[in-house]
Amino acid sequence: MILKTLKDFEKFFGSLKFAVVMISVFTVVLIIGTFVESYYGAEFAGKFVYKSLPFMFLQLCLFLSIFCATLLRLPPKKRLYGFYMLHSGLLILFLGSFITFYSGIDGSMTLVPSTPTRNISLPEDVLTVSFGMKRHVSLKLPNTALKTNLNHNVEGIELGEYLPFAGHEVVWKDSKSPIKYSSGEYQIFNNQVSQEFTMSLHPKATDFESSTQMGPLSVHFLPSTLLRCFGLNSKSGVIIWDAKRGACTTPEEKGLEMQATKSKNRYFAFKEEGKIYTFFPDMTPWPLDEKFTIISKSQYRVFGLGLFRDSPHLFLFGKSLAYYSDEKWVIQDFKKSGDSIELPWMGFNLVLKTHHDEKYPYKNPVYQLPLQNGGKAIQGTERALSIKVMGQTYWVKDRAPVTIPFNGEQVVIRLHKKSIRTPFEINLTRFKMDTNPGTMTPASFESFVDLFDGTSSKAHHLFMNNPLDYRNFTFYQASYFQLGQGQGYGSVLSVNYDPGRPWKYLGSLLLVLGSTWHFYLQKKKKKGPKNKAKAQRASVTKEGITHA
Amino acid sequence: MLNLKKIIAAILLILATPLYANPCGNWLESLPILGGGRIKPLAVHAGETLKFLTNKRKPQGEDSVTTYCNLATAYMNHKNIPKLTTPVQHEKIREIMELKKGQSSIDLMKLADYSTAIRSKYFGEKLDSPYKKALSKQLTRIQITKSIINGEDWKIPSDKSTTGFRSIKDIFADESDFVASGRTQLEDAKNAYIAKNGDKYLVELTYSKLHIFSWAMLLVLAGIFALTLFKSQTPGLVISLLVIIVQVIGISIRVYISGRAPITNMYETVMFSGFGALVIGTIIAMVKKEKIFIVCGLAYNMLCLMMMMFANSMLSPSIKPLVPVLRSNFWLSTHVTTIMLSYAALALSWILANIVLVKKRFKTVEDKELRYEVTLIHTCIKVGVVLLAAGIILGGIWADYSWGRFWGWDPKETWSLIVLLIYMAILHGKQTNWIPPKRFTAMVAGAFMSVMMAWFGVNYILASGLHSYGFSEGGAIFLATFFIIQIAVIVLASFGGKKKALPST
Repeated sequence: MILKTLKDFEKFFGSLKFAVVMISVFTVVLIIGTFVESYYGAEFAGKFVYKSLPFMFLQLCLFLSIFCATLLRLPPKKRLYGFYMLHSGLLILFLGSFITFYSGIDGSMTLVPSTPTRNISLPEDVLTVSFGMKRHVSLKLPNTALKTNLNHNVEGIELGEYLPFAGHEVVWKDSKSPIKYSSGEYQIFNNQVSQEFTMSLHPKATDFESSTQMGPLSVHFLPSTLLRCFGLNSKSGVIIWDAKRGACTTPEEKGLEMQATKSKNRYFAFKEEGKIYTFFPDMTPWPLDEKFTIISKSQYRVFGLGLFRDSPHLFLFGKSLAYYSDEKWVIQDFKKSGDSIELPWMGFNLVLKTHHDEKYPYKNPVYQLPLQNGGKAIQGTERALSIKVMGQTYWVKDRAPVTIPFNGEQVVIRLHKKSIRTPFEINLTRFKMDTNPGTMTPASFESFVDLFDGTSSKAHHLFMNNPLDYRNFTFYQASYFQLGQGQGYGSVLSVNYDPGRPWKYLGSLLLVLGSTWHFYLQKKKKKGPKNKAKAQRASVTKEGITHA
Repeated sequence: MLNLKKIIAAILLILATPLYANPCGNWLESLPILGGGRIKPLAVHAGETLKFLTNKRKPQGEDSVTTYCNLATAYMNHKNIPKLTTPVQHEKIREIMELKKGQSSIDLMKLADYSTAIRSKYFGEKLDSPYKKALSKQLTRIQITKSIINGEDWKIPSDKSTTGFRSIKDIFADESDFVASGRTQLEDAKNAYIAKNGDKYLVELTYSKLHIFSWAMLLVLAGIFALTLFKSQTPGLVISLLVIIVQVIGISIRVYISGRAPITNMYETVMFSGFGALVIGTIIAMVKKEKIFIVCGLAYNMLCLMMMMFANSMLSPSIKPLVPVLRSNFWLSTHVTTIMLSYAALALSWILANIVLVKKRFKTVEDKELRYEVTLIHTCIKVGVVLLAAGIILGGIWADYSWGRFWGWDPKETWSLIVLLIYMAILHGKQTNWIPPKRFTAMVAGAFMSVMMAWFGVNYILASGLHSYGFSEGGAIFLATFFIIQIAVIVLASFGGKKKALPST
């Protein structure tokens, strides 16, 4: 009875029709996969199609089909030697791929010159909860492309919604603080470009900056109390900022006289509460004491407005702005949100969208389908996980870990890529990029590295099509990055450990040899063009098995 | 005596002056130039550059070298600066340039005026749309034009530079300088270069002048005529062997010039697959004594040659340096060649299937005849799939060797697998009663669309990103047209036509 079921099973999965159906379904899925990847990028396609469970199941069905088809044609017939070889090659190929999938490593190593590295970053997403400094709990996040509710509890921390691909929307949260901190959302545009930006001075607004660079234009977001000093147009052009009182003044207002040293450095000084403060406004913002040492904790700071005259600087004070144009400082106010002010550069206008003193901006993660353009993800590049601790909900983002006091210790929760440490150390000594003569197009990327295995160090040279093999690991030149203006380059190596490799090679060899043999044998059976149709018929006998 | 000498010298000078008035002329064609990252003869560089800027190799009627020379010396402010126009295809860019209705080109010298406007529009476009690509092309044109008329593009051999080349503006300060010593200096530079580096680069000049593939095209035509006129296979076979010889010469010269396997860009793959199909077709024809394979080989070769000649906006014939990852001659020549040969064999099956389809539409085809034709198609597919499987595996091994992974579901590799799977489905299905001979022919004709998708579609449709409506571009239009025609042929052949009941297998 069981034997009969097994036979039926074998016949069903080994039949040609099942094979045709499986190949066709697999093909359709692959076609969809390539379009998904073109639209949403490789990472999404991997999670959604190629590494998804249904796709694994499909591959299993293909495997079964080939396996049963081979079994059905046993005991061996001489005519089918090529067939056996071909199909067992395929089975071995599947096996090798499974070994690679199951126990292989495919990661990357980011190298900064003269910084020894042991860290290999893997593509898997991991959540790590650190209790204090000592205890860390790591959790592998599911390989999903869509918004998923984890419904999991890590020692009292409830894990909720996981967004494997996320963007964000800016929301305004109540600051619940007696001190007012200014935040604002603006739009800058001319008839060609437009950009929106949000700036904040609030300490909780960690996602936002208080200064930014837009092409040649520098934008600074400052407390509104500083505004009046920009309007004073003082002769010295120096502003004294009192951080304690949150107020500003100028040497002229204080009745202080600007003096000069022998080497023509400007300075001024005043006495307060028995202390003497001496300022060199063109050299440092900090005051000097009697012994001419810097008082870095001083409540007073100075800065010269002259610094901002040569290149375009825009100062924003919430609902007001200041800039230097036509040899004087100009101050303008937004009367209400939505107002637009013309700027003196390239026809640019600035619009105040919102401004708050008691609220702060926060980037709230939302699920976003990724989008790729020219091989780069341009949307949905963030990851986020919502957690609940003692009734409070927080978002853990891949770019911003969350730190919360919990059961008397500091708990840090991070979303990051899984990584492993190698037992040896790699140090990038030099990265070299050659260009084709007379052009900027790259001709080669080369990394010179030292590999230190605990006892000795050996130099290696890696470039495209020339990897480095070491203790079953293989390192390949994959990419590079610039360290900053004029500071040279760092290199990215892809690191690979593949125990399935010999199987895949063996399977490939059998597949190619087998298919050649298979077709060659078929050919030999036919004699003359007229018998071909007959011979064709004869080869169809295989089908007879399936219909038996 | 002294006076006489002076007079003769003066006369000679007067006679010589018009000759030396402007050194620009076709004699410069063999001067080596550093362009696009490699050394080539000026004639090749001038032709390619003018073609890129104006869509014509000889926009002035005169030879491209003279035009280029006059343009590249424009910084001297001489009288011969050519008045060239550059085409502006995109409607929105015409608006930026304030072109009048119906005006589709602009004075090359005025192009740079719109540099800022185009650049800001370019950075304003977030996605790689056809518009953004058109803007990018205009920016490249502006940059190249600027570089040429400022005398920076023309790089002349010189020992005084580390790259071995100096821009013309660093050699000749002004027109009088150029007129007085241009000819001798340029000739000296060329001779010095040849003395030091040899004259290998001149092969490219010969290659560009020989028009080998135009001759091959004529021969192919003759071959097709011969095969239709004569019942015997021999005249066609002889001509197709001649075509193979001519194309081997053409491909060999190209390999000699570039120093790598002739399969590194679309132009070369089209060239190679046409050649491969003819070779495979001829071999099968000789073994099987069946001339239809030569007909198919020649027909496909013709299609490829036509693409090489007339689809220059899609297939650029210029030889460019390779991207670093492809710089491995061994893998390049084994993996890509195998894949291209497999596409060539599949192309034979495609042509054959279409011939059968069309024939069946207009003529009653005997059951026996159809079965015979199916075995012919089957022969080509067998060669194709074995080569394709081998090619995919070679690609996997190369990827494993140089990137550390055998398979990564990259669109190019996935599509080559899709092609293999589609043909495998057909071959397996042929053994069941699902695919009788009639359906088999139609399916094989249609299956070649997957080859076109893997070959061109991945680059022209998938790689440019679907969201950018890439279908308005050359490559995508070509593919879409191909798909529509092929589907139409299959549909028209399936419905109507001479009906004769075919017993199913």
